[in-house]
Amino acid sequence: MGRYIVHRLILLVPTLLGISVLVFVLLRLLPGNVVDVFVGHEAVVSQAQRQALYHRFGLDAPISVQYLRWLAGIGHGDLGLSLRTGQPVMRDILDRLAVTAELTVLSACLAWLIAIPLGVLAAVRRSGGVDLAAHMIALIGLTVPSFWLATLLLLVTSVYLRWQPSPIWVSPFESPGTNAQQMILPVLSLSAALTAGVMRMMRSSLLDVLGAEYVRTARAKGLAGAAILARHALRNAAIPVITVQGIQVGYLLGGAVVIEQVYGLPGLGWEILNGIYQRDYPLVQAGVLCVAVGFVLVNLLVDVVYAYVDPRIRYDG
Amino acid sequence: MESTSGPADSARGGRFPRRELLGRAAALGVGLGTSGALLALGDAPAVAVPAATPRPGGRSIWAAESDPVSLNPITNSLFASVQGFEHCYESLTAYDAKMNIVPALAQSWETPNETTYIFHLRRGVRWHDGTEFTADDVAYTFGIVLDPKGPAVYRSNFDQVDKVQVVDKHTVKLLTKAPFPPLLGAFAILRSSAIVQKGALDKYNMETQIVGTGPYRLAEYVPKSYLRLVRNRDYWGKPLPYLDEVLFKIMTEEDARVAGLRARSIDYAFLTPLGEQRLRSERGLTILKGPRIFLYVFQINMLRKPWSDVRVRRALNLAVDRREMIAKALNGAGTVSGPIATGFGHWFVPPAELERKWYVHDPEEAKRLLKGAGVPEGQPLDLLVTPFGGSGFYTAAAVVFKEQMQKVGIDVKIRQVEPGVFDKEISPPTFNYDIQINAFTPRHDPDGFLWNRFYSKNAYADGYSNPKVDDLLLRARTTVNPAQRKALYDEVQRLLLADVPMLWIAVDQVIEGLQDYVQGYQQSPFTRRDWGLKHAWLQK
Repeated sequence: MGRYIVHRLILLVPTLLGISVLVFVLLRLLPGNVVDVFVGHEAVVSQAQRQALYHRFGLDAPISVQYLRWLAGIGHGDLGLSLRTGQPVMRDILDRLAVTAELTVLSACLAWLIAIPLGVLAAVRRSGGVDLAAHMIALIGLTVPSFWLATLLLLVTSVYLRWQPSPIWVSPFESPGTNAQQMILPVLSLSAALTAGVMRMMRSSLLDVLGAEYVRTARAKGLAGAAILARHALRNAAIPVITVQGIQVGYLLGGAVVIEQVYGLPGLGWEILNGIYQRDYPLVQAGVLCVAVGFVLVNLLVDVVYAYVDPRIRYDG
Repeated sequence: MESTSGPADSARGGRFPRRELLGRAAALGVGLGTSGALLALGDAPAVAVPAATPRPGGRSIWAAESDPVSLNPITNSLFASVQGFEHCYESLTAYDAKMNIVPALAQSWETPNETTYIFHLRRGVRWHDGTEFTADDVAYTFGIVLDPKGPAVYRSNFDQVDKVQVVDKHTVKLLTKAPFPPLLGAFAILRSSAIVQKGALDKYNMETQIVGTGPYRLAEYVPKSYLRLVRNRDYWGKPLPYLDEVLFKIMTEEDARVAGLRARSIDYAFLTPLGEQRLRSERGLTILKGPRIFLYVFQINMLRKPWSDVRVRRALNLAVDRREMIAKALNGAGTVSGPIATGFGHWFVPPAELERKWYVHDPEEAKRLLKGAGVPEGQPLDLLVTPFGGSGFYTAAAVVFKEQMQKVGIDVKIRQVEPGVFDKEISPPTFNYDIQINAFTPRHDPDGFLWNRFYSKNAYADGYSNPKVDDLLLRARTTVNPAQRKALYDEVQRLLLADVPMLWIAVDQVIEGLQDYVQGYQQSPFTRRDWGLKHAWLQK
C-alpha cells in the first residue's frame, strides 16, 4: 500500500506539469492581456507607457522564457506575485482555499449524513413511503440548480425571517458560531445536488446487493435483516458510492464558484474567476494548480479507501 | 480665476451648517470652470436630510458593489478603484456632492496669468503616519504623473501641464503650456491625481496600502472581501468625519445587497432600478435617487464601410428608438443625452431639444437614407458588447437595438465577449467592431466626453474627422472664459449631433438605499461616496 501511494504521488508530477503547460498557454491564448485590462477602456495612454507596462509585468519576454521563469519560481516555492496587487499569490490562495475547502468538506459531509441513511432506508423499504419521499427529494435535488436554490434561500431568510449572518467571513477557528451561521446556507445550497446523487446511488447499489445470491444465502442461514445489512450488504454497496464521490468532489469545487459568488464568500473559485477577468496570470495559474492538486489527492484518497473497504482490490505488484 | 475659500472651510468650524453650505456651494458652482449645479434637470440628487445635530461615533457596514482590485491612485484605470481609495486620499481640489469644485489640500489658489496657477496648500495637514504634508509631496506626485513613460494611466488629464515648482513649503506653482481650464477638475476627479506622500512608491505597496491625508485611514484591505476604514483623528476638516469606523463589504451580487438592507446587516448599498423596485415597500429604508453622469453610447467605427458614410449613420440615428431602449434596458430610469452627459454642469444640450430636433424616431426615413447610400437589405452589423460591472444594460440594449435595426433592414449580429476581450477589441489600433456599446463614466471636464474620440489626430479616434470640430475642440480646451467656452461646446455638440459619429443614448440614475438611521449622506451624480460618507452619521 505504501509503495502504491508513493507511486501515485510520483505520477502527480507529470500530471501537474501537463496542467501547468495547459493553463499557462490557454491563459495567454485568451484575447486581451493584463495591460489592456489595466489600462481599461477609458484612460488614454501612449505606446511608450504601454511598453513600460509590458516590461513591468514581464510580458515582453518570449512565452517559453516566461514559462520557464515561472517553473523555476515554483521550484523555489515561489508561485509569483499577483499582477494586480503585487502580493505573493501563495498567501492569497491559501487564505481563499481555506474557505473553499471548508465549504466543500462541509457540503460533502452533510450530503453523506443525509444521503446514506435515507438511501439505505429507501432500499430496505422499497416502494414504501420513505422510498417515495426519498425519490421526490432526489428529483428536486438533481433538477434545481444550485444558484437558484442559493438565491431563494437568501431571499427567504432575509425577507421572511429577517435574518442574515455577519457579512464579513469569519474563520471557524476565530468564532465557530459566527462561521457556522455564515456557512449554513451556502452548504445547504451546494450539498443539495450531491445529496440527491449519493442517495440515488446508495439506494440502487444496495438494491443490487440485496438481490445477490450471497444475501439470499445469509437470509437462508437465518441471519436477521439488520445483521445482513450491517455485515454483508452495506459494505459491498458502498464501493460504487465511494467511487462516485471522488468525481463528485470535483463538481463541488466547480459549484462552489457559483455559491461563493452568490453569498459573497471569499473563496478560491471566486478568486480564480476574478483573476481570469483581470488577466492576473500568476494568480490563475497558481489557483488552478492548487485545485488540480486537490482533485488528484482526493481521488488518491478515494482509491485508498476503496482498497480498505474491498479487500479484493490491491494495488501492489 | 479668483482665489477661493470655500464651503469645506465653513464645515471645519464646530457646527455643521449644512443648508448654508449647500447654498454657498451652488452659488460657487458655475464660476469654477467645470460643472455647475445640477438643478437644471429639476431632479437634483437626493439628500438624507439630517433631522438633528450630527452625532459623532459609531460603526457602520456599507456595501461596495465591486472590488477595487487595486488601491494605487496613480496607476489605476478602474472606477471601482477610485471608490476604494476616495475616502483616504485627497487632491488639491475636491468635488462636493453637487459636483462643485471645492478646496481640499489646497486652501486657495490664484492665477496671475492664463498659464500659471499658484496653489496655497493647507497648513497643519498630517499624513496618516503622522508626518507633515508639504509642497514636496505634491512635487513628488506630479514627478510620477507627468513622466511620459511613467505608470500614470490618466496622465493625459494633465497633458498641458509643463512644470510643477515648489515655491516654499506650503506653496506650489503649476505652469501650463497653454491656457488649461480643465486643470482644477483634473485634480478633483482623483484619476491619477491623488497626492501621495513623498517616496510612497518605494515605501509602500501602493496596491493594498494607503498612507493618505483623507478623512479615513485604511486599517485593512482584504481583496474581494472588505475594506475597513477608521476615522482619521487628525483630519483637517474636523469635526468631520463623524463615523468612527466604516466597513465596506464587497457585495457584487445585488441579491445579497438587497437581502442585507432588508435584514439590516448593512447600512448602505448601491442599487439598480430592479433592486429599488424590490425594496420599494420596505420600511425603515431611505432610497435616494438622482441623475447620474453615466452616459451610455453606441460607438460607431467609421474606419469601416458603410458606417463611414454620414447618410448611413443618420439612418441609424433615425432607426434607434431611445424611448424604447430606456424603458426596456434601463427600466425607465434614464434621460436622453447628447455628446456631453445630460446633467453635467450646464454644458449639455437640453433633453427637450434633443428629442425635438436630433432624436426623432423615423424608420421610414431611415430606410430611404440607407437606400440612397446603396446599403443592401440585410446589411450585417457586428455589435460588440460586454456586461461591464455586471450591469444588465449592455446586453439588454443590444437586443433592443437588434430588433429596432431589423425594421430598417440591418442585420445586427450581437457578439458578446467578456471585459478583457472587449478592451482588446476596442483598443487602438485594433478597433474590431462595427458598433460597440460603451459608457462614459464621470469626467472632470466637458472636454473629457469629446476630445479622445472626436479630435481626429488622437490615437483613440475611430475614423471620425471633421476639421471644424477639430478646430472648435482645440479652442474650447484652451478658452478660460466660461461664457465663451460654453458657446464653443454648444456649437461643437450640434455639429456632432448632425454628423452622428456615435449614438448617444441616455444617462441613468444613481439609486442608493440607506437605513433610516443613517443621516447626512448626500449622493453624488458621479457615484462618488467620499463627500457623502464624510458627512454621514448614525441616529440610533
